[in-house]
Amino acid sequence: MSSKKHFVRSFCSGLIPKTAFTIGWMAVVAGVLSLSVTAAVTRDRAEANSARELGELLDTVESTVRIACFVEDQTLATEVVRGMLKNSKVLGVAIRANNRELARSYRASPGATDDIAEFSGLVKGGANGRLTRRVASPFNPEQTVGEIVLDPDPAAISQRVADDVKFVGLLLGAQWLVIGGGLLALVLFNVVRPIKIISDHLHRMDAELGERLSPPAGQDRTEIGRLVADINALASRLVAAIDHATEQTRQLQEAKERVDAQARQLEVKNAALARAVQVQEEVERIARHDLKTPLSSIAAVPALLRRGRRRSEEEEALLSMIENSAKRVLRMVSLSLDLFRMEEGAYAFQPKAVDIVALVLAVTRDLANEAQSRAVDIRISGHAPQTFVHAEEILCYSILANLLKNAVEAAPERTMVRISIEAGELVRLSIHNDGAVPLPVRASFFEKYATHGKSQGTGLGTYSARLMARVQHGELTMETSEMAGTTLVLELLPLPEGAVPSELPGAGSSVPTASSATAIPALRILLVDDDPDNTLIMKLFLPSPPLEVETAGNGRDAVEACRRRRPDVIFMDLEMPVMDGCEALQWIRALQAERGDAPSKIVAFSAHDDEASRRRSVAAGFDLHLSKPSSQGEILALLAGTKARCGNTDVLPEAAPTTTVWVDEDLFEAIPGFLESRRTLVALVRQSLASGNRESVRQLAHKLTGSFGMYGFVRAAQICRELEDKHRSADPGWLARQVDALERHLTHVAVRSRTGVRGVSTDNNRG
Amino acid sequence: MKSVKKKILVIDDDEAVLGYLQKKIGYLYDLVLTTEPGLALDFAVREEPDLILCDIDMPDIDGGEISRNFLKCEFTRSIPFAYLTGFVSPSEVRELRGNVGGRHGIAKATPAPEMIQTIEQLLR
Repeated sequence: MSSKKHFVRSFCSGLIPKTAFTIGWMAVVAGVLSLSVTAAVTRDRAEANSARELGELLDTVESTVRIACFVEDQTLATEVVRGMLKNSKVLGVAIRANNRELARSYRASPGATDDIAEFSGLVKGGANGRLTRRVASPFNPEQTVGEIVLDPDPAAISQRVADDVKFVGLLLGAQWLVIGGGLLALVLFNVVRPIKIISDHLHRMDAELGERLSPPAGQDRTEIGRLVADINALASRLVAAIDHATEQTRQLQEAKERVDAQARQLEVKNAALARAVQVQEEVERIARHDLKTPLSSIAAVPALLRRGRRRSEEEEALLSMIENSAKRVLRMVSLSLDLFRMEEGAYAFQPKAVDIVALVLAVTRDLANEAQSRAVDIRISGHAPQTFVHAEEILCYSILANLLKNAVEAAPERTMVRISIEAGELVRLSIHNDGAVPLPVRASFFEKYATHGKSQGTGLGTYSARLMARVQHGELTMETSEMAGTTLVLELLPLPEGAVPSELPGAGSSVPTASSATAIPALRILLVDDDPDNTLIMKLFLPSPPLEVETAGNGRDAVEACRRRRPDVIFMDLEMPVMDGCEALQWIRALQAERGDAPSKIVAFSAHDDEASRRRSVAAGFDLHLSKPSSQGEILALLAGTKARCGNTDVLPEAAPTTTVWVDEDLFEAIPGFLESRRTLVALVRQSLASGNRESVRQLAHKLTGSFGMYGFVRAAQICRELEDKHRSADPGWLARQVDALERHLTHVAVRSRTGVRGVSTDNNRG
Repeated sequence: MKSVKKKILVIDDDEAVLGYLQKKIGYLYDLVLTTEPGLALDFAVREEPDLILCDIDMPDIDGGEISRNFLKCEFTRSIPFAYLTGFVSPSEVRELRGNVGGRHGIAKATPAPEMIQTIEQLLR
């Protein structure tokens, strides 16, 4: 039911029915309008025609009636009246002559049944269109002899008019039907139907499959044809635009997939890199700790063996071999780690006075055999007995060894390698040989992995040499040609003015002497290391007496040892099982602060010798960071500067006049200002104490505790913490003495930049 | 490649503390420092820091009150907050598992690398 309704509704709303209905409705309205106008006009004309016909009838009979009225002939008049009544439109006629009625007759009609009625009807009819014609004398037209009174029959006239109107209406209606129908058909067939066809076709058309509209037959050149062409063109453009957009979307999708794939690849690579870095770190750790620790033990053994009895020459040679080999391997390990740090920009340059001439001589000696076998002579010219540079000995040695070895290898047989040293604004060392650097490697001579003609060349030699020169604020350059040979020029910083080389850097370690041992105070030493070999070597290094040496295998044992008895100096390894060095340090510091013991000098003794490790150690609260291996001389020099102290005293711990606070390089410049501001605060503490304002004492002491702790003034922080804790309970005298101790400490404390510490001996020599 | 520095608001009445932090962690973070604890809240609302480090013992207004004020204010409630204090030592903070007075705590004497590590955890 509903579908039927729907069909009807959709049909009614279609283009053709709507158009047909509209045109039909307009035709009906126009027809009705034209019919009413035509009927009105036709009625008027029919009425006018009737009046004209009656007038003509009167004209026809007028001459006869003139004679009848003139002679007053009733018979003639009656005959005329009868004749006139034959006209259907005439209802009644009367002829009068000189106020005498000659003849009169009325047609019988429903409205006139008797004479009176006829008369009155006549009178009435006169009012309704009665015609009166004056009749003149046949001889004198001016003389009236009678009149004709004619009453028209309205019913007959009406009937006639109605007939006329009906006829004309029918005619017009038929004409309208023909014209309207034709018009409708024309519009429907020529306009509406083609549009309907196009519409239906368009509705079904799939433009993307290439379907297009075709114009209805015969409409090619009409507006409809042009409309179809326009629609087709529009469809083509739209399809092209959609195709373009689809293509772009597809390309975007592909690009996205490619990027995704690349991102996945990158992730994989990143993961691989992370693994590589992990492996590298692991290797580094092994190299540093697991390799260096035993190596340093080996290197230290010959020195220990030399003590006591004299060795034979052969034994001495073997000992030297062990010592030198171990040290060389240690140097190689350290240098490889340093190179890595240099590349990372994390290497901390710590220059000393280095005699470059002595180094050149040492390297030359090492190369003497090789030079001889190649028939190459090494000649050093233009140098003073000593020329100092501001550099690191190990780096300089490494550069020179590399460059000279290269020069000897590259020099043609029976030629000379010339070395010259000039001191000036920079110390300039040039090494010349007659060979030329092969063309293929000239441009990349200093690049990493650039090598030529050497079966075992890593391509790292010249690269690392330049890296090391630059790290020392110097430069390494090369000039080469077939004619002039090759010259490498190493430039290094001279010793700053005023700096005096304190000690000639020797190739071997300083041999401990009996005199250095006698300068050692009687100290209690605690060695904390999980490596028994290391502990053994260290123990052998430390003369007992005067030293009293105790050992511990890990941090926890160390804390226990401190609980039993306070050591003066603790050498603490950092990486240990059970409890590591940093944690043990915290425990020991806390323990000693709690007991009121003077804090032990705790030295971080570690295979890590890089800057970050030093920084960490000092930041963690160690007094010093000493890197393994350290020579016996270094260790004894450190101990020589340490005073023995009686622990467990009831008196207040006074700050040692020479207490040293190690601060990070970046804080160093801020220290004078910091100490000044702290002294002001300490003065305020004293004032508050004098005025009895203990809360103010607490607040100020608290402020001092926090800031001293931050800047690494452990002792000062400790005193302030005690002030803070006991501000209420302690007697004023005790508090005042604490403030005295703090002031004394601040007056005498020596602040050192941590970066100055590499070997303790240097520090001691300078200090 | 490196992202924009995280912003840290530090409230401490001692300029030496602020100077220390500027030297030690200033190269890693964008530090906004104030020695006026009374203005801290206004500062925090204006600067929208990623972390607030606040001393506890200060004149006029203490760290606890500042902390409460930050919690009350809808703009600062969600900003990580930690006390930077001399009341506790680094080992005490460790024993307290980093909790000082109900909030995160960092001892002033904490070594800089460890302090940075803690700050990074708080910023996460």
